[in-house]
Amino acid sequence: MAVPPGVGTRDWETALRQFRRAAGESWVFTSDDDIALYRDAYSPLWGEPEERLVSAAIAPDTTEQVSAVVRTANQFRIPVFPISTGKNLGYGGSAPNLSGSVVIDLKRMNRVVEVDDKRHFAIVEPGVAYFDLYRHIQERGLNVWIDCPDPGWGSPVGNSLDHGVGYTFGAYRDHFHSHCGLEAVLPNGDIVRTGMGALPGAKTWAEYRYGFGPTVDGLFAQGNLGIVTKMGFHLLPAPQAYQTSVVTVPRRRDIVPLVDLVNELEHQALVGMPEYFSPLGGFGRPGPPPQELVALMQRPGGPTDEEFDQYARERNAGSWSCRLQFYGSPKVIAAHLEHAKDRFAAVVAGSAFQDGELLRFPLNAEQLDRVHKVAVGIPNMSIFSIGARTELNPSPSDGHLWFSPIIPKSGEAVLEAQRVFMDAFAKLGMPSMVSPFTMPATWMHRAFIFIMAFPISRSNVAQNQRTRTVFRELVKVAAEHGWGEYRTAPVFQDDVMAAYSFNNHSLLRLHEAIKDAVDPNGIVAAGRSGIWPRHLRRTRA
Amino acid sequence: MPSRREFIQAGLAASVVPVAFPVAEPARVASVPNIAALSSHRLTHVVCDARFRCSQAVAIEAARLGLPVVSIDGDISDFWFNDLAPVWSTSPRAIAGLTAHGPLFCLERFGWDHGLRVVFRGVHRFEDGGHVEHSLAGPFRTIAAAHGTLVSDDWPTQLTRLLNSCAVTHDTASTTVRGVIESELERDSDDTLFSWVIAPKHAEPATARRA
Repeated sequence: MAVPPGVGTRDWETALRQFRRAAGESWVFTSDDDIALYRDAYSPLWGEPEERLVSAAIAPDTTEQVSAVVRTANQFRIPVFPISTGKNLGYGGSAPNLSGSVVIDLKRMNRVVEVDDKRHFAIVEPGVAYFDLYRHIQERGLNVWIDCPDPGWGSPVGNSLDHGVGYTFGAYRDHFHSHCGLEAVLPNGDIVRTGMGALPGAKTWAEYRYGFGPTVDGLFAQGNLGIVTKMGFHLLPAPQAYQTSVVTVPRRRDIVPLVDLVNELEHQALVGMPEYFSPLGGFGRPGPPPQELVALMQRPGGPTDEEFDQYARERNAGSWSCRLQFYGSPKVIAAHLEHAKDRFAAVVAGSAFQDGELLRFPLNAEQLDRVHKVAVGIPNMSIFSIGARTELNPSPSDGHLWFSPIIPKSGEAVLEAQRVFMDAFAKLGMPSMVSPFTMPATWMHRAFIFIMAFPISRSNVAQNQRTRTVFRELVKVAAEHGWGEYRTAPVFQDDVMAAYSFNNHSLLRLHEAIKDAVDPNGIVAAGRSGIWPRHLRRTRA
Repeated sequence: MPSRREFIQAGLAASVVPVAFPVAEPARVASVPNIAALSSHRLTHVVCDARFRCSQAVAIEAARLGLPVVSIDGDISDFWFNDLAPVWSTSPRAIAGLTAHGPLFCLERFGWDHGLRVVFRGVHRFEDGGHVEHSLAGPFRTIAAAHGTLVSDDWPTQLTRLLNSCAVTHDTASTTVRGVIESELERDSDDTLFSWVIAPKHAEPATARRA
């Protein structure tokens, strides 16, 4: 049986007895078989001595049980690492920053506390998955949507606390932004509620997020000051209809007005999440790129904008496209779509729209098959049915690692990011994961994520080591250009936090000061986001 | 909610006769508990990944054995939401299948949350020249039985019987068997396929256990 770091065997045995009293005999897990379930399935350290492993897991059922478990952990200075559903794949899964931590697995806390479809909010526990909340809403015929990420097995609480994102409207698809009030167990076992929740008998916990006084909710997101046991969320009133339309612009430099105009539409709440792509494709897509494109790319100095435009004209294709999503009543959608066409006609010569079908809810089976389900608030797992083997990803089933730098929401920034990262890959001697047609992810409401997925191998340690080296270099390259990652796996969290270095790392120093005050024994999620407790700071950070 | 699932069983059920399936060493295997014999461990679903003909062959044999078959196209969403989650939330039961990696990856993790484990796992790698390599891990007697059954070209049929009779025991083993593949199934996929049984990790009927 593994023992947490810094904990004596007798203390550990006493703590385990107390954990079992708190959570129940059958809800404390110490066998190798059980604790192996908490390995990060996509760990870039898979099988290496540095892989982050756990010593035990506890699954409490109530906030009071969490409090009792934390009090024991604090008494014996046992490091704990809370997870909700533990599905944070690509960003660390359920594995802790500090090996030997005890996972506090909150899956049993799976109660939907309240959903209101007149005032449009929900309050849920951390073990509630998107599927669960969706089922609760569907079974009761409630008139609200959820906004969910691609795999529906995650938790609204866990995803929002990791700054996770979805697919519908801006305010809703930034999941932490859409939260409203939370309950957390502090490292000393005290239970705190934020916002209006701090008012006993509050009637607006999940509606007015600030309450009174300083707002502290953000300290619990990507943080390590406590264990969140309830959260409120704003929900989207169910729209009557949905329609997509793809706008295509002809020239490479048209990416600038394309993004500007889509920003205007989105920030006016006329469209939901936009999805950019290049009709020219080629690199970064399954199968080899066209030979003409390869020849063009291999010319000294690379192709000019005019040559790209000529290439597009010869194929009767545009240079860039964006799929716009419209929600609301059919009349509202028609008006918003007409306005979008007017704006593009006035600004981008040669722009063209291809309208999708107007879909009225509820959708029939055939429509459901065609639609991108998360765009209409339906959780699913279809992302796992995609696993194509490519030259860059020979073992797709072994997983991947997300590199997620935030860049400005502009066409100029996209072109710069393409150039910078293509150069970086060339200097690192690695096939580029970026092409002149790579477009960013648009999950963020006010910024782009220039996201890349690095393949992980469970059998090739050298490949993983190489990936880690490249990843760390890209963190530095991004920082040199003013771009920082919004989220990353534990193994890189020190690197990413180090890039946020304004004024001699004053932000990290503030985090550490708060950590020392609230969690003097450093028991909760040591090292999360690069914030280490005092006793580990010198050796780990 | 509308579903994309296709239940293969419907068209075959009329001819179904539940079969007490004999494996390589029937006398020995019959003496240990197996999923087919234990009502609490009876397979509630056999999952067919309809993109692959080998998996379709498993579905046909499963239906012939009287087992409920569910067809997916690699996406378990509807199966999970409409069928499995409601069952597992109150009474986790054993399921089996032959699928690509993605469906197994998801179902295995859903199973963990309900006190179930993959108790048998087969990795089936298609090789050039009409061969398939079966790497198997699971209960000792199930693995022993595989040696005599998976070498022939009707291995998906034999595999189905093996999955249905998978004995849930503490002693485990692994092996690799190299077999042949029917010509029409050859190049079924350039991917590796996975056979599996997910069952309660304890012999007694499981409760909604989560770890």
